[in-house]
Amino acid sequence: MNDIYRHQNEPWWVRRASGIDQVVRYAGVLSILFGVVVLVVLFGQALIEGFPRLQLEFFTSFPSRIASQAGILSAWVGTIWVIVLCALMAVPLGVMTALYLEEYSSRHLLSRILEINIANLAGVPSIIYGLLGLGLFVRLLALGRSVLAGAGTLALLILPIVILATREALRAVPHSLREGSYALGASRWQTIWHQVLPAAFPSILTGIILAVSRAVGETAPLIMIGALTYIAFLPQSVRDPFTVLPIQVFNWVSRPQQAFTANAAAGVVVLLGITLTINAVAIWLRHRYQQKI
Amino acid sequence: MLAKDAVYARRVGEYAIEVLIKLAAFSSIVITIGIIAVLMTETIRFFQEVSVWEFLTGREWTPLFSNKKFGVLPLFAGTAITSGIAMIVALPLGLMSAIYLSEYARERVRSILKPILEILAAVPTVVYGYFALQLVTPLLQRLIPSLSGFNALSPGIVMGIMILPIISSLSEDALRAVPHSLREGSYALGASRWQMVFSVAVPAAFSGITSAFLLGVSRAIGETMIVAIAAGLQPRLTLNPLVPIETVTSYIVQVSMGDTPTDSLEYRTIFAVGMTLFLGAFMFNVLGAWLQNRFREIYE
Amino acid sequence: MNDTHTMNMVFSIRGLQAGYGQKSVLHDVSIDIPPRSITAIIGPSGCGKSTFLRCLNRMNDLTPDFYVRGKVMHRDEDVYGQSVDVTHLRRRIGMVFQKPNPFPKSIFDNVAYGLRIHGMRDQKKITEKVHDSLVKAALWDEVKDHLAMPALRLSGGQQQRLCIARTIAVAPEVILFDEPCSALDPVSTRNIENLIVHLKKDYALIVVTHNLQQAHRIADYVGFFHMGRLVEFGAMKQVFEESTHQLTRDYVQGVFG
Repeated sequence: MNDIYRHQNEPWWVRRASGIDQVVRYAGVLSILFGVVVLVVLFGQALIEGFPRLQLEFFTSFPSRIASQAGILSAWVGTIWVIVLCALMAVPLGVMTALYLEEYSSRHLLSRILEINIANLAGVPSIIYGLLGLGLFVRLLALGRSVLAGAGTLALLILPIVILATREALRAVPHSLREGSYALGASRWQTIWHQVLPAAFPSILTGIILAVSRAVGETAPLIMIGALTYIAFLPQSVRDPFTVLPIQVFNWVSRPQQAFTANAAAGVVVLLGITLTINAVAIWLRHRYQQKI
Repeated sequence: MLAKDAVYARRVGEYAIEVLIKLAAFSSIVITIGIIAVLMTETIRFFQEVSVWEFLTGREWTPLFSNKKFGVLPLFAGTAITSGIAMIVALPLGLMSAIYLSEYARERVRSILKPILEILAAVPTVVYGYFALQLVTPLLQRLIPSLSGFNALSPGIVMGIMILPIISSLSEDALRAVPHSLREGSYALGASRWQMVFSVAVPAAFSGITSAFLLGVSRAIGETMIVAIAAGLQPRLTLNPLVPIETVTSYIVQVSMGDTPTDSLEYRTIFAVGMTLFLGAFMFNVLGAWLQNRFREIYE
Repeated sequence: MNDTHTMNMVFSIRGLQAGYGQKSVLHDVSIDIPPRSITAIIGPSGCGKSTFLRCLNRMNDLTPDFYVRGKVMHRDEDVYGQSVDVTHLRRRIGMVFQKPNPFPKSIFDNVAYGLRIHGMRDQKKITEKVHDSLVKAALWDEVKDHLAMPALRLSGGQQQRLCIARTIAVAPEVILFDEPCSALDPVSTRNIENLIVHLKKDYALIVVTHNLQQAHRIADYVGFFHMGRLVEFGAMKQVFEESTHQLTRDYVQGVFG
């Protein structure tokens, strides 16, 4: 009796309910915005702090003991060397592994083991890959502290990411496309090469771009294999020592002198600029592709 | 149109490609074996000189000093406190974001907010480290004057921001997997949206959210650069977040930056502590994946 | 049936059994498919008629856990024989699917695809073949001015005719149709049916359909499947009008379906 009475005459609880809904809604939006605000503040602060250093000479100078003369030339050239080489190793291997799991294996125990293994590799902390690179490339294969060792280490690190993204992309290709090709007498590889891979290409590319973005920002594994040194020359071959952007930034951040903080900030701006651009490209690509379907 | 030898050539080509692809697929197994082998050999050699008992229960960690002590607990404490702070930040924020994105946001709003949130996970960790040291610590020092320049609190908070998108997107997956019929059941009883969310959706997605939490923890204990930059490099058995500490990961960085001779006991410590890190992260990952599969099995 | 009769048949199937893992789908099917004619395979859904069709060009090979027993002879060749090149076999036994599935390429490349994968490089010859196939599939007049257009922009009926054209291009002897009109509107259906009837002067056509009127309109022979067994096979008139099987009579009269 009482309940009915309340329902008819006191819609307050309905109002309260929607009030709480509003609170939940704002809490959610604020949680998301919190991260975004942090990002903006971070970028802004680094920009203000590092702006005086963001001159052309910053990009064309080698590191130096004198903060105002130091630059990131060897760092960004090293990053390009390492990343290109890393992608050359990880992408074919990753795409082929994904092809095996999606197009070749019939779901038996073996592919199940592979799947679990890859999922676990994706969760291994990056510094462990550094230890692996140290033991495997630097010491066992005697590559030393070279571009090749660094690229190999990062390739192992992003391999699971490339595999998972490629599998996802292959799975999204409709089965009818494969059937149409097989029905014309195409072989498995012809079907994959002419139909499946082109159809999955935009998604695979998005995955690869995101994986590369991860590799660009990785620091710890490269410190492990010994990339942290003053490098006052550019690598001429894959056997040369190197440094990369994040390591250069780390080096400057760890120095107590105020002058180097400005360098660190400028480096942060460059590094953030690169990763944000790469991610924006990936998101744009994904968006464009989704609209097409 | 198709000659016999063309058929043969195509078959051989097909076979070659299949073999190549199979070999590639097994590379991931080789990597796993490589990780375990590298960690194992150096760890075993380490434990030939230091007892496991001393390693696991010792309260002092001074392998780089002349008076060497190999008690790993201070490093564990450092990892535990920074990860704990990170989760305190990431879990509520990530969960609220997930609830908003899955239950409240319209599809258009969601499609804009989600990628923005995901960018947080793409920021290089060295950038977060800079942020913790140069921005967050000075800010916190205004609030807590006793805070050291290096401390666990600031990198912990920043790590939480880094992990937020992981928690959010995994929790959102879990919430979205809750079947519509369950929600309707709640609405049919006259529940409003928040009542439905907190009494039906969140409990139903509980194992998925727990899984998100565990995978977040695994990420936190493996995170290196933020703590290496902003937490200091002083192993200390404490849970006080205001003083400099050292984590498992930042210790590994510290050794590899120094000029420790590569074939020494000090050097092998990084593989031993690396092994504990690997096992810890592996445990959280397996547990998380198991819970994740469980909620998928229930609802799919 | 004597041996010379069997030799003339496009397909000669004896004791065919097939299924997926534990689930058996086809039981002891024996049937002879005559050349230059339309054979319709009818039956209620789940009776195994699609599985049967896919046994003929080994499309089922792609399905995990699939098994097949018995003999499937295409002319004088054992379809499941040891030395058979499956890709070569599928070229000679074309297939058109339920839902039009053109490749996400241009109209021209859709038809040229089969030619290219079978090793044709001569651009002039390819162009010629594409033209002939589109003409045969009664699509040429509609698409001749925009061969470079993406095939996915065609209407459903046009897409299906394009799929037929690309099948014709690789010069098969048989074309299998798996409910080719079930995703199409009545006008497009009529177009496809006319095309199928037109094609029988060059090919043996096997059409799986759940549409009895369609079978009645186009078929020369009809096979009626029920619960994985071939209940009856014969000339269209005989199955539809003079059947001695109670099950067949019930089905064609719409008692169940």
